Amino acid sequence: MAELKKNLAWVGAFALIAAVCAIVIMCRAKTAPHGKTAKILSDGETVRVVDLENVKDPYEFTVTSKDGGENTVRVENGRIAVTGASCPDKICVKRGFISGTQPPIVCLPNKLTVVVTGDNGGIDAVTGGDAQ
Amino acid sequence: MNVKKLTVMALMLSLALVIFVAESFIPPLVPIPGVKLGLANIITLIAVYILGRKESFVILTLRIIVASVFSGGMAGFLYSMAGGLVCFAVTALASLRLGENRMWVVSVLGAIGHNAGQLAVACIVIGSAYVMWYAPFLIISAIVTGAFTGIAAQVTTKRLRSI
Repeated sequence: MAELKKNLAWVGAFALIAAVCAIVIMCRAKTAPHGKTAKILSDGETVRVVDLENVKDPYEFTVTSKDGGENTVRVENGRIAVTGASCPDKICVKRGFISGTQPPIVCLPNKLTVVVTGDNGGIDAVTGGDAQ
Repeated sequence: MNVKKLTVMALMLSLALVIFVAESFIPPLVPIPGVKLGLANIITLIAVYILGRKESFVILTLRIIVASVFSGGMAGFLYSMAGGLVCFAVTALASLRLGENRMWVVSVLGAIGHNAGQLAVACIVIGSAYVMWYAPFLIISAIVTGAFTGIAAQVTTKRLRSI
């Protein structure tokens, strides 16, 4: 009986921690800005900011990291995804499209981060259909 | 260190490596970097309780070094080492207070430590704190996978004791 009680106490403690995490995830999903722009970071530096609003023609571009890793980023109206990666695990590709309410797409091997932000400032002329 | 102990350690190291390689064939279940079963940690846990902390530490570090030779890549080595060392520190401390009937708890705590260590390295390597978004996901995954591997280790240790 004492054994069962001890185990149950730990199960309860871990369930509580998991519940807190689940609440944090849900709160963040609710408060996250709904995607107007996306920032692409390579090696911690912002290499590109793209507008996600009113994208009539979806386009793709390649981000090359300092040590040569390549990721293909696809931009569609209101959403962004990594569609190709030179790394073996392809976790970033499996994430599919994000539109703001999800955590950023991260490619650990190529040190790439794609994050959707709510603000619309700082967009330069690089955005748009002429991605190359 | 006697010959028997050395042989058992070598056996456990090779077991851990086989488990590691076998697990690497399982495709990532969720598209979140860092989420994995961590089956090789079963061996680390068993070694802590059967052989001792020092012996388990040797098995763990050798496993990480040899495993990263298998899988290749300096970045992978950094993540495994950071995760492995934090996980071991937590496991070693927790095993002082928690006995063999609570190995699954030690395993969960170690798994959370593992993911915390990896997340910290990911922040430094990637150069941005955005990966912290994954923290709550990784804690939930650590509780589930840690309990799973911990129960496996606990059952195995019980069986080994009765031999």
